[in-house]
Amino acid sequence: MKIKQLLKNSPLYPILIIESFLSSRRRRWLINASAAAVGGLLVLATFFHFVRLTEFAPKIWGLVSLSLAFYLTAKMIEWYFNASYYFDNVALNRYHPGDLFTFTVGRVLLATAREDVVQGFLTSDVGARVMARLGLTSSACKDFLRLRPASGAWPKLPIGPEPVLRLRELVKFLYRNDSAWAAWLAEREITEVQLIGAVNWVVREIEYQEYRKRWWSETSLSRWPSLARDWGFGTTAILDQYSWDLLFGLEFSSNLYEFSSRLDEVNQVENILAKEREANVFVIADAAGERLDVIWHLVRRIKDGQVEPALEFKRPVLFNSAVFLAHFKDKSTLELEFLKILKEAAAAGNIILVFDNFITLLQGFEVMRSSLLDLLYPYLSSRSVQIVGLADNDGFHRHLENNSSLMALFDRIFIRPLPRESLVFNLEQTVWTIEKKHHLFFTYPALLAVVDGAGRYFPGSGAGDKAIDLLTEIIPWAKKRRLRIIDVSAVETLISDKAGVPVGRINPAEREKLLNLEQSLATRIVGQREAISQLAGALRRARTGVRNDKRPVGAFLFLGPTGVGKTETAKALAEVMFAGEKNLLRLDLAEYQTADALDRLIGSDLGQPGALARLVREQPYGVLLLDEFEKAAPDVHDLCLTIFDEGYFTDREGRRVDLRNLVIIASSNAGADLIWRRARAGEGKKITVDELTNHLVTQAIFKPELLNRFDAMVVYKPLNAEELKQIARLLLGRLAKRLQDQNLRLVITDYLAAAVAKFGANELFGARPMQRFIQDRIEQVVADGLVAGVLRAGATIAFEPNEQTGEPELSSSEK
Amino acid sequence: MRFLSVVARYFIWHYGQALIQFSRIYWRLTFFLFNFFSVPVLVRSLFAPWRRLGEAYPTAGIDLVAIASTFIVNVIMRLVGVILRTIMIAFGSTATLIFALLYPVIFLIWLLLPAGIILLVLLGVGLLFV
Repeated sequence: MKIKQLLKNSPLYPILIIESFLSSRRRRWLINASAAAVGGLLVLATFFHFVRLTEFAPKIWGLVSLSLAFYLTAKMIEWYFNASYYFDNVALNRYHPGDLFTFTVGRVLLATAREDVVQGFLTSDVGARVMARLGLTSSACKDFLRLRPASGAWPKLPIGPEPVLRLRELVKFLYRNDSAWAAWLAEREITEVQLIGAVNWVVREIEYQEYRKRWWSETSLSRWPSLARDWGFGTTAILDQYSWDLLFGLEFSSNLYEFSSRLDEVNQVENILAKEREANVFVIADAAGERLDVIWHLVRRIKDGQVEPALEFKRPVLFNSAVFLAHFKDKSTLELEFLKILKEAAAAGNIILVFDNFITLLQGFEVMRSSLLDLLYPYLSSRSVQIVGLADNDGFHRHLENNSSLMALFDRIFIRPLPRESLVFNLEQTVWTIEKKHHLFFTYPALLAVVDGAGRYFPGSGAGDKAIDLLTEIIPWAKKRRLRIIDVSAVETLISDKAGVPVGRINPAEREKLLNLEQSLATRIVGQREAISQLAGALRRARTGVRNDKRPVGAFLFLGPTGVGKTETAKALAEVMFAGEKNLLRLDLAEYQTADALDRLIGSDLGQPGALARLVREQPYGVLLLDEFEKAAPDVHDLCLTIFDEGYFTDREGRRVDLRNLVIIASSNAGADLIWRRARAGEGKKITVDELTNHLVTQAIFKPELLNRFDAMVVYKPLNAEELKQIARLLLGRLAKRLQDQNLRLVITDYLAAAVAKFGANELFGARPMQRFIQDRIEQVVADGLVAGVLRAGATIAFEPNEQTGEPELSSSEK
Repeated sequence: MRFLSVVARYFIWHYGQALIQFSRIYWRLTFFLFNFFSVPVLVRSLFAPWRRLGEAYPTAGIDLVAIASTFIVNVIMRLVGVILRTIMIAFGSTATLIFALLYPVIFLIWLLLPAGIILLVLLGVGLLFV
């Protein structure tokens, strides 16, 4: 069937025609303009009447009549549109099967020429809104339409009697059948999921705007606060000092719609509070925003009059525990005031008392040697006041759960963390508010970047709260930069600035860094070409997104004898990839061999914070070096299994510690003897990773499942004399640089490097003692020379071999 | 053609579906007005003390003066409640009644509206050009 025919067959046809001739904005303008004309002309007629200019009166009244006729006609068109649009539930996205398609699809079809629906979509107002949400301008869309290859015959549109075709299905159909359009979108990094997400967002926005226009609906009318509704209830003067009436405000993060992912919890809270007796509940979640969100839903229902009869006219108040506690210094006044509040709330008869942080209040009373629960008990079983306690998981389990008499009077609702799609849905609504208030415009991919970035780079509880925090931070950030459109790159820049890690697309400087990672590392690490190239490859995979997001950036086991560059590699990596050695987190696992090792790492039940938990919370990005990995207790190895698998662990307080933004390097000397022996046997006998793995497993040093969790096992070979000489040169180079700052020039000769390698390094500790040798035999000599006045600023320092020992000594010319 | 088809559909709506929709909204607004003044709630709690204010009767011993004083205070609070509620109920009921009585008038205006617009145009043209 031709599109024109389809349109004519739909009951939506008349309103589609009206909308195409006169959009709702134009209609509104016409109504306002004609009303203003009627008013203005009436004033003019009155004025002429008083100044007795009667000859103009008929003309003015003629104009009044015509303007009034015009106004009434415009109003009638609007009423007709509204009647068809709203009464038939089009605005609520509820259609009759005979409608064939939704109103938004109708608008696309109406804009369609020559049966080209993609063109219709891109030129329709709703399509332009979707494209704008994807960051694509109308001129870019026009260019695409102008330049695209001619499309062949289209398959039949999926329009049947049932179900009604919705915009997201139409767009999906178009995307899958127009490869040129799909390719054009793919070039702009827009996926099908993002496209459909943007469509849903735009449709929901239209629905929301229409919903607000329906002032005559029962829900809208019931939102008007009725007069005298609280005359039957008491006043709460004391309680009001420490609390906030939730009916008088809608919190920023609260959702405009009710949505399915929180409905269960809200229904449960509502049912509990509607009980005849013991209508008290603990709402438990780690993020304050998540706990409050449920309460906000309930408040909205009470305000809308869409609540159980028992909760009608109820007044939920949020009791600010911290403010209350701050007012009192002694037990008796604290208890007295609290009892007054409870008495007042009970006497008022319509109070739902919400304690914003129940545990804080409980502990505050304990500090004063009082018992909150003893004061509350008489009210918990009464029907005069309902009590809601908000608490975090840890606090609830520690302080409340074991109190069986309290638990008998309270129900509990544990709030689940929201899945990603619900977070996006939540944020979509918050963005409307921000956009309206601050004249900003967010693209849909930017919104996704906020949700993903908040979860990934600002770990901890309450991803929803963090995403909203990030959104609110964007506002001043964007205003400072005079940005009006917030796209992915803006969000990524903000996250990069805030978190100090590269996020998003690889910029040219970073690309250079990644491509030259081997060379950059090789300037500091000598003789470990294979190890470095393995590591660099893994890191490139990580940065380009070809990795599992739910694991650390990389987990590597560095094996080899002491002093061959394992630690130096970790330092170099932190320097190159994370802008400085300050981003190297180091834990010596040799200190964690005892039975209490795990407690010391993740925190103990006695409340001692764990070293690893603290370290990672303070610095969640960078390189984590676990030195002497083989020496750690088996419990610690088991913890690492979880970390390498999941990217996080849970500390003793039940909080998640996120290690997904770390490169984890475990270094170990295990198997060093074998590596040595095989290295000495010659180039052809070099040890392989498989052989080393077998050795480590048979010696029961590591469990096979632990070794399997590493992204790579990197074997460091012992250094030969030439490599040690190169390291000596590197170390001497660093010393020379320091001396240069004091205007002294150190001459690094071939002899000096060879001498440092020969006398500084040894078989057991590799290159490590060289630093000490340089310190004792070079730096010290120079320092002594400076003190004695033998060396002065501008001097050139050279070393020559001692005639007997061959060790370096200050050149005779300098003495 | 499109325009004419829409005009025809408009008139079918104006004298058909719209009358039902109009009536439905009108009675919903009437009901809203009734509730806006909280008339049902106020009637239910007509004799309750104003804002639940009042005193508790003494529990220890029989102090006739105290009992009488409490009784008087409580009666006064109830009286205040009755008076204020009655005023509000009277306001609300009158407003609702007036609004309800206007229904036939507005209904008639609705029926005559298309003709009225034509009349206004004719009148306007007449006054301007004749």
